[in-house]
Amino acid sequence: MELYKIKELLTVYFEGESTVDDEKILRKYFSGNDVAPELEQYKRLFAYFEYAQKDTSVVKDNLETNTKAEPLRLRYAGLAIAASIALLAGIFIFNPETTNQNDLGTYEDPHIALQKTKEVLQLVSKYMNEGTDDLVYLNEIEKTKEKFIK
Amino acid sequence: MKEEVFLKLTNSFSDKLYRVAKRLLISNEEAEDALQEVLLKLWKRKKTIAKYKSPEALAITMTKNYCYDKLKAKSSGNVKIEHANYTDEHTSLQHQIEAKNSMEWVHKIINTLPEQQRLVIQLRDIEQFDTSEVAAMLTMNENAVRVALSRGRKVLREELIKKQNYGIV
Repeated sequence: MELYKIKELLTVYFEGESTVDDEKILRKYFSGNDVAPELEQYKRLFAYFEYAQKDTSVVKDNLETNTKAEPLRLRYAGLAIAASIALLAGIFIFNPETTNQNDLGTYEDPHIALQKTKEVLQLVSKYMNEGTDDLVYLNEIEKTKEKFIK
Repeated sequence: MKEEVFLKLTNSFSDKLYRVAKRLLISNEEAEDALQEVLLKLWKRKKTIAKYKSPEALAITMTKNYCYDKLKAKSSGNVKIEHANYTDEHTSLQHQIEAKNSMEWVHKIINTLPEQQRLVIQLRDIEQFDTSEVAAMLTMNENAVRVALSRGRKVLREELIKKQNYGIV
C-alpha cells in the first residue's frame, strides 16, 4: 500500500468515517516492518488494538470445565449403582442359610403328628393358665372395692 | 435451549463482553463479575434468545447497561473512594513500568477517555464491529457514534504525538 493512501486512510480514520475494512488495512500496514518514520507514533496504537483483542476471561473457562465435569460425575454414579447391585446379588446367591431356613421337617405318620400337635397346644395352654392364676388377685381387689364403693 | 448449545453460543462472544466490561469498569475482577451477571441474565432469557437477530448485540447492550449501572452506583456510593485510592497509590510506581510498556500506555490513555468514547473505541477499533452495529448496540444513531469515535481517536492522536515529541507520558 502506498504511503499517501495510508495517510489518506488515517485522515478518514481520525474523522471517524473509516470502515472496518479500512481499519483492517491500517492494522496490517502498522503491524508490518516498513512503517514510514513520520507515522511511527501510530504503530503502537494499532498494535494495542490487536493486543487488546486477545484478552480473555476466566469466567468463561470455568463454565467450560464445569460442563465437562458433568458426564464424569454421571459415570461414577453408574459405577456406584452397578457395584451395589452386584453386592446385593452376591449376598442372596452365596448365603447358604437362606436356602435351609424354611425347611423345618415334617411328620409322615398322622397319629404321631396329632400327638405332637396336642403336646404343643397343651404346652401353650399350660403357660396361658399360669398367666391367669395371677388374675385371682384382681378379683380380690374387686370384692374389697365393692364393699366400700357401691 | 440446552446448556451445551447455550455455552456454544455465548462462548463465541463472551470474551468480547469481558473486554467491553473491563474497558468500562477497569478492574479485571469487576469485569469478570459483569460477565457472569450478563451470562446469568442471558441464561434466564434463554427461551427468547432465539428471537433476537443477533444475540451477540443483545449481550453487548446488556453488558453496557450493567456497567453503566455499576458506574452510576459507584459515583453515588462510597465504592468510589476505594478505586480512586487504588489507582492513586500506584501511579508513581506504575508510571515507570508503563512508560516502558507502550501497550500499557495506550491502554491507560484510552481509559482516561469519557465512558462513551471508550466504549465506541472498544467496539469499533478493538472488536471491529461496524458503525451501524455499534449504533444498534449502544442505542445511539450512527452519526453520534462517528462523532464519539472521532473525538476519542483525536485525543489518542494528540497524546501519541505528545509522546513522540517529548518522550514523556
